[in-house]
Amino acid sequence: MTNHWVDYQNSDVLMNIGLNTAENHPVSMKWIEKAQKKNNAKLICVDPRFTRTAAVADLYAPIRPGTNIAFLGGIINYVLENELYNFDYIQNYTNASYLIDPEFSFADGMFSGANSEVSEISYDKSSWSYQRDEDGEIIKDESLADPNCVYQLLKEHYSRYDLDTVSEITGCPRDKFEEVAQLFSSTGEPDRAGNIMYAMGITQFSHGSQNVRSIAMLQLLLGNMGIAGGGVNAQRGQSNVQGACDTGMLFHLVPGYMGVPRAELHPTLADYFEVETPETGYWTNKPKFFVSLLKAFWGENAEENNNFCYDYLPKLDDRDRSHMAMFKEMKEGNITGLISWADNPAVSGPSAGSEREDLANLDWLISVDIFENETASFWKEPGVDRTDIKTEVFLLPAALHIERSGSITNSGRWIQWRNKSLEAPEDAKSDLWIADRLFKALKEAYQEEGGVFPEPILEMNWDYGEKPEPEKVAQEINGYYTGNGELIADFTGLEDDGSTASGSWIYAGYYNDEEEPATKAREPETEGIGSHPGWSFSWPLNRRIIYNRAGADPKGKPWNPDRPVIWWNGNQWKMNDVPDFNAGVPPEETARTPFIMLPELQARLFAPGLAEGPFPEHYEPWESPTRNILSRTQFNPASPILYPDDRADVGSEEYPYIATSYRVTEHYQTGVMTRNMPWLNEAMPDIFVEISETLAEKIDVESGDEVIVTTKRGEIEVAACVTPRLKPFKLNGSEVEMIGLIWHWGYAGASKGPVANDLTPSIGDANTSIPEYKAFLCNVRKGGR
Amino acid sequence: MTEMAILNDVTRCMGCRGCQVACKQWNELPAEETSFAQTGSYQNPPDLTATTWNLLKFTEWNNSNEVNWAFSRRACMHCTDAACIDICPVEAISKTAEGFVIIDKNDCVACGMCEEACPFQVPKIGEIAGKCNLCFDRVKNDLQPACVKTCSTGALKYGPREDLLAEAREISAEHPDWQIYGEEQLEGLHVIYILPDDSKRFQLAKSPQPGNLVYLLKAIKFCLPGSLACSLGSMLLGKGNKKKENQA
Repeated sequence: MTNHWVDYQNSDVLMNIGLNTAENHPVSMKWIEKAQKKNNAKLICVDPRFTRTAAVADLYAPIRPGTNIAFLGGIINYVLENELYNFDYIQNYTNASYLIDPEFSFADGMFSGANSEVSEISYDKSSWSYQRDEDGEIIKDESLADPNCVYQLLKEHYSRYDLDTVSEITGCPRDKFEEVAQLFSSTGEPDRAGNIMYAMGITQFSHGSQNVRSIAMLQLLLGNMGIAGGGVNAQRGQSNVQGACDTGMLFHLVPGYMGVPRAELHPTLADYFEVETPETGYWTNKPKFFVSLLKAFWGENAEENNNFCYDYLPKLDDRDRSHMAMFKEMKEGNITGLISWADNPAVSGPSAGSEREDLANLDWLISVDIFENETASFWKEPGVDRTDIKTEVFLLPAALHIERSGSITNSGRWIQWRNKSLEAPEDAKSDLWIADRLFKALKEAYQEEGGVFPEPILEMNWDYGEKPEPEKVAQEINGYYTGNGELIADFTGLEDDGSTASGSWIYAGYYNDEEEPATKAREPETEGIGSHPGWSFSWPLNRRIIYNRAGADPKGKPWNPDRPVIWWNGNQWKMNDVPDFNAGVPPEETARTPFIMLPELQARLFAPGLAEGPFPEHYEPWESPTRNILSRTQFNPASPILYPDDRADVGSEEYPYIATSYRVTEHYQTGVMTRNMPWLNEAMPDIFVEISETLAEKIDVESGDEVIVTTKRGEIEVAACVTPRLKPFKLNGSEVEMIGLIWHWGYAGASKGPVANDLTPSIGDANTSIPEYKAFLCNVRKGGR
Repeated sequence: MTEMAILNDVTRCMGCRGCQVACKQWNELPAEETSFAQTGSYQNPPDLTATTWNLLKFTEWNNSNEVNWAFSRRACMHCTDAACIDICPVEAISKTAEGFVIIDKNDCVACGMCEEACPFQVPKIGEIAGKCNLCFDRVKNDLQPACVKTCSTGALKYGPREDLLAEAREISAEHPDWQIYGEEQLEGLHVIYILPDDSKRFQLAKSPQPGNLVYLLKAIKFCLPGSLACSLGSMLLGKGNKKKENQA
């Protein structure tokens, strides 16, 4: 999130899209209700079905799964056509005025630079670039009139997303869509704040990253970034998933959102810095953050003359190392051991039935969890012939979150310390204890037996005590001076000469004091905008609203004087937050540089970074009931295709219905915690599939009857929930039905049921490879026979 | 003593069921075996039981082509004119100064007459009659009832009944379709509702009536000594006197 949950109270309009906030983040409603009461704020719910959020929303609009780019692009077009944007904002704070290479073009769903016309395209992005003068300065047209400027290209691109076209693609009635567009674009008024909240209903698509881009662009046009009550707010699907991303629990990132080095691109540290460090913007400091990370990893052994042990850091090769590709490698026998730590892909993975077969290819599997989950017990699945399975499975019982101390980072970037409140039962141990023992045993084995490349393990800086203390890990993440061990106050103190160490630069400052670390601060706010800066620590630098220079106009006047984040009083900056700019200089000097993490220092309405193109373009999901009516490019041309045959045809008769999947309040993720909790099983006892009244009539079922859902991947039998909350979508003159699958169940735990993800496809986003869980094709028939 | 109450603003409830689970947790009530097929909806268990005292009801309906979905809390209403108190042959049910109706665990013999007498069919018979006691052990210690405490929106509130009624009137003033329920019924309930539609949709009768057999049961109560009245009453209702069976 660029903002925070508690900041929702400052919004005037909140758009819930690709998210069911009441269902999956119930406490968010506390802040939304505050906004409704205080500001007469309106909550918009955009969702394929009428949800618990829709029940408390002021405006509900249906959307066919997989058409978010069309929906958001339609609002972008509405804003541009009706000139509802904040002109000063886009002129000063975005790249709207930049001129683009005249070679850049777009036709029939494809951008210039495609290396083929088929699929799995890797674009030559050279034309997706700014025009520069002979000094290398970007050429701009401040009047935004030049046909090659970003604003004009944007306008042209989205002119195709008119009300009728958007309604036809998304299945949202034209008047409903217009009502949403009108209401949300009212936040283009400088003093009004619009918040877009989203979750996996935006990200889990073959075009998920471009969905997010669409949200960011819309928020920029309306001037909703950097202000109280605005923002692009990703509500995380799991309580510490923000912390996991921040500290590098992704295959392509090291802690602090720096890329994992690639063997080909960055063979040496100098290459890494050369390629990865921009010439302007705050990322020019990357070498300081990166060297400090290496110092945290290898301590005294990391020296300037050995490039701070850069050679010890694993490098990515040319193979895809994301989740789906990893399972394919297991299928093909290239990966033979797996540690599944607080993870349960046997239930949560795409095409989960196939992933369970891949587990049987392993020599060994270690599962670390609070209960024996479906992954650990894959060989016990009913119907599986275990005589053929050679995998040796180790089950390590883990302590629950309340049975260990440590910090947890919420979606709004607050890193809050939590004290242990209970002893873990029997042999259950904290994750830290398990990691510590594992590391020490590995080190001992390398010491005694040697190995191919023992140095990274033998020389690792591992100093958390005999019984590892989470506080010591926290201090290392925070960072310290390597000379005297003193804790770093914040990341501005980090250096690239080995004099500092920090496990994740963005966290520097959260554990800056041994006695009273900021992460443990609990001072409620008495006056201000409700952001509670004295409560815990928000990365970076305890900043609550990032890019907050954009929260005031170029002259330093807050867009909304009643909810000021920062403001210039004529002599100096005043602030309700930690400034995201140099507050020691008058506003004119920062009037064009609010987005400090970009080399341009201005936000990108045109962004060449993503694989599919600089502007989001609507493509149909991998499995779709219709051809793409916007262009002849049916499917995201940049998405990698792992299993080309695993696809229902466009408009398939065999699989005529749209399927989507989601969670319920009563259960959590793969159900490991909640399906072992009798009160929750009482409230939500079984897996079910939601179907419309018209589909129920067609296949002759009533609520509670069993139905069989089939996809190209498999079939499951579940109870039907027949409800008026789901309606068929109008599409190409006819109606297409949609079903909704709850997915928390599996064959382990106290409440058992089929695995819904046995039905989902293994196709992913072109940039992140997140699987397309939210839109695929299926058939449904009456079961129980 | 000020009369206290719970205000259930159904228009603000998002159906998270925190109240349903918090009730079980505080009162240490066991979970029940349920199944989706039983109800065919999100609602489970289907109704209140001796060990489910607070149930969230899910109501969906169409209104001029728009779907509505509302969530309302079902539990003891703590009536001022409490038929259960009148009918109880062993006088196990009484009223607190705040207006809460509570069952004395030690005195209840599980005859089932209160269930028949209750206009809302709230008490359910297990080992004894079970129903919401408005967490009197919490509120006597200046804590909110467990269901109210857990509610993260403003759908449940606890406070002086008159204040909550005034608040309910203010909230619903701008919405002609909304109804306040519990102000007049049975001389005033201690659970007040703000409903987004007619109360009948939420199975809340304008003038709630006790069960058909209540006059007969009343006659039995006044003609016979307590234990005999219980036996005859429970026989008449076809309820097993579970406590006695267990002892036998």
